[in-house]
Amino acid sequence: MREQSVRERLTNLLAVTDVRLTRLDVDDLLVEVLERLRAILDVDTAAVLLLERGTDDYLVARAASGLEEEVRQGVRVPIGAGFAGTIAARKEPVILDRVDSTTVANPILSEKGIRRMVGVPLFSGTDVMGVLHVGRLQDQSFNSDDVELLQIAGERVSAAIQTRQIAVESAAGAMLERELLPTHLPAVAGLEFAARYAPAEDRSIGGDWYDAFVLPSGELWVLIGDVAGHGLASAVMVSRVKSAVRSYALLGGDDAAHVLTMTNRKLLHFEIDTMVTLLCAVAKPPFERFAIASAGHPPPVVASGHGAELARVLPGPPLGAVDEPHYSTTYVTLDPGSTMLLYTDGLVERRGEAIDSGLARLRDAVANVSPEQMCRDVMRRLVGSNPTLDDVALLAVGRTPDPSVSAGRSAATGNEIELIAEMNLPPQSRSVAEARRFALRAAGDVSKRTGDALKLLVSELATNCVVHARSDFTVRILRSANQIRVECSDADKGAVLVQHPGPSDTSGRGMYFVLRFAHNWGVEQSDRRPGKTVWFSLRLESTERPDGGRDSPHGGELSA
Amino acid sequence: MLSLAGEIDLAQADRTVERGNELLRTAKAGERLVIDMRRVRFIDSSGLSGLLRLRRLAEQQSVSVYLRDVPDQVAGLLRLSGIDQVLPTE
Repeated sequence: MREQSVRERLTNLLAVTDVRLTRLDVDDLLVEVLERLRAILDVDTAAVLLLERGTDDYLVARAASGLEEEVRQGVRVPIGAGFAGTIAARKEPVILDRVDSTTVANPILSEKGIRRMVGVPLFSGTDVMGVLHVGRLQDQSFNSDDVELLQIAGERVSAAIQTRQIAVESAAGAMLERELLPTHLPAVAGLEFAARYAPAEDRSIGGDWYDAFVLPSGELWVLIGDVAGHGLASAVMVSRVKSAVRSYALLGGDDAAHVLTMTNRKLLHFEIDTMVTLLCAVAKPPFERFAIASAGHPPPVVASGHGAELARVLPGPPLGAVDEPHYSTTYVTLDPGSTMLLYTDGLVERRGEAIDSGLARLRDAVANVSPEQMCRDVMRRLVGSNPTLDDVALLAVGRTPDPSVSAGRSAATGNEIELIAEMNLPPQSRSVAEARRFALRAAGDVSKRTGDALKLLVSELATNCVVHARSDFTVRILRSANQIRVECSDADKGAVLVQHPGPSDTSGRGMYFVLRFAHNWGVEQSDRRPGKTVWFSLRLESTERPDGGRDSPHGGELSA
Repeated sequence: MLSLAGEIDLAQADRTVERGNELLRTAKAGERLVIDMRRVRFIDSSGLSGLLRLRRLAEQQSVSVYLRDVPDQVAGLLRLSGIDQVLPTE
């Protein structure tokens, strides 16, 4: 009969927890449950310890009744040690008939005069999330009925804690979301901004974010990024990366590639196992040219009077992936009335489809309209009513139209030569291949003949920097309507030797190839830079030019 | 036979010479060392120098070096620099 009345009282207790569960004060709830449990089971102490994960897993006292000092002293019990630690390690109830320093890790229990104890593990699914235990000062042993009742109470305590954790996570997530995605984009004369954020279909917090800010120098930074994973942990990581990038931008200024390198270093050291893609675009007033660097992030789309194009950004590795990666800088011209769209991969990725198809679909969906209109169009055409597997973030930056300028001038239609990309590289042999890959990507659509010559000559110039200068060097790609120019600058002032080596000579052939294949080449020293700059130019064939020029091809023949 | 692949530049030239030298260790005077170039996608002056250094090492042992299946980009450079005269293609 005793058992039945105890069960009834337990049922009543559980009903109380159901009502109280709608509120967030789980600590008060736990204390109340433990107090009632003491009365129902006729015990003197009751306590809940929760698992805290770290380098070592510990149980930490979270709520107690008749044993309040456990919580006040922040008692920590290692998994596997003592009474509670054994319950957590074995994942099963333990009845203790003798309480002393050999059976419990926590001296408070024996000091309190507790004689008998019983405890059960608290589960989240099949994982142990904590321990619930009760104790008696009297020497009256616990039996299997007590264990069963304690298990029923334990299930309800677990549910209460988990409900609270989910509520906390979603409240914190909503707060982080507001904090991470600025509703007020900066007010900058001559520019318009628009942004969107759409969570994934399951409404979990994602790892996408965007940011836009102006530095004291007047320089504008716009960024978009994606932390791998979902949930509160990703949102917290977004907050850290965002803050790190802002700091490095403020201190280091104006070099997006350098800020990526520093952020990568920070992630590798302090945030193990984190992968982040990030794209930074930086411009000074009047914001006609953006310097863009990418860590594994898809390229922006630029819409102008000439149509929509994907910026030819060569992405470096994602942040947190490799030691000392090298990031290049690509320059993108933004004419008045043109808009640049930054986005995350959730917009273009579809399961079972190559990324290029998604990028092409995006380019086709973008028209030369205002930033606000562009965001609306892109979300409607690419997301529409389809469920998205990943979250999507968009940030559009547009230059306000200038009525005094009749038509925009794009980078490759003018006759003047313009810097389109640059990259700093260390004096290592693998930098030579990086320089070739960078130059080919930056040059864009060229004939096979031009591409082959470009690859060879960049290889030769980069090799000279690595072998002779042994300093960091910079490769710059410039382009006009009818030529591509490549510059390699290093810290060495030594002369450049052009030899004409015989067939079996094992050196001296590099500059000879430059002489043979380049349309023009030269060496420059300037007061602005410490070392020298070796450059060459290649004529673009008429088919490679936007204006269809007629100059005959020049340079050596590379193919057999 | 030595099979080369990929991009033979500064980063790969020394390794190419080392691999060739390994083969030369067991080679006898009068034999041939054949370098298969079929999978070479790119070569520059550092890569060519590597081939010529290997040829010099082979010469000391009276081993002659031949190239096989030379891609267009490589063949163009060999001809331009006259190396095709000292490193003949099979």
